[in-house]
Amino acid sequence: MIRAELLLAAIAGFASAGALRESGLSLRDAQNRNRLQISALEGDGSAVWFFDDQNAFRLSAGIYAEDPANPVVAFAPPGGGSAVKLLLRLAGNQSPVIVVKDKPNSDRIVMGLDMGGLDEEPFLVYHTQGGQKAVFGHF
Amino acid sequence: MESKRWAAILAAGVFGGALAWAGGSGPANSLTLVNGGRTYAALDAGTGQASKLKFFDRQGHAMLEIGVEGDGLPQIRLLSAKGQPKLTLKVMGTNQSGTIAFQDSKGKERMRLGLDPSDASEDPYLFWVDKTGARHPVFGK
Repeated sequence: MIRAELLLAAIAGFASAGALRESGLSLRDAQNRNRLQISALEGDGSAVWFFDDQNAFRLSAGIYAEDPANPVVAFAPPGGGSAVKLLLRLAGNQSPVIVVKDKPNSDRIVMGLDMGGLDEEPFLVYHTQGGQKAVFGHF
Repeated sequence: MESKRWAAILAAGVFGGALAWAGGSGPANSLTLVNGGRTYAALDAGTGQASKLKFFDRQGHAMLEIGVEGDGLPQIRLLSAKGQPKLTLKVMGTNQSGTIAFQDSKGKERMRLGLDPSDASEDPYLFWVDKTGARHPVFGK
């Protein structure tokens, strides 16, 4: 919730986030903690990040510089660093994919359209200790 | 008051040209992140109840949209470089039920997961559509 005490500040660069280079927009709370930022990324992407009280990003959405550029929405755990719990993204030939990850950052559930096949057939697979199992399709 | 604060700050040029705003003499209705002539992102209050945050690729195509549609319903859309929606999260139907839809490069819906948008039970369902167009329910209807 954007409240009156939040401050709007220009971003000249984020030393704590090495991927960031260009200017952007930051919202800070009364304790001057970064709560939200929108910024261009080094390369050709741009994204918005939402931060928790520990300055860890919890939700991120944007376009990441790949060839071709692909949109990604990522949900992160508290203090998770680069770990991500849930991803919505386009991958490969811009096929839509949802990935649910566990604590070690392994993919546990993946569903989407075939990223390599011309037929773009849907798939849903999950991973247990017994290995990968397909509900339908293949990944 | 809040909008005027935004407008005043932006109009003062705090962002050194990296951000632009639009709204005439009233509160801003859009905020655009621009660098080197390239538009990276835009916050935009459109018609009706629409308000969106959009991210653009190098060619200027919106590839990610997050916000509220003109009908007031929230939606997240991931789009291809050709502007086709590929993955959509939204609420729909009389129950305003949560839905995730996957579309292929031809614009055809190939898989959908959600809660029944029209039945009071709101029972979950998952179906997928093969290349011939045949629908395959996994559970629910």
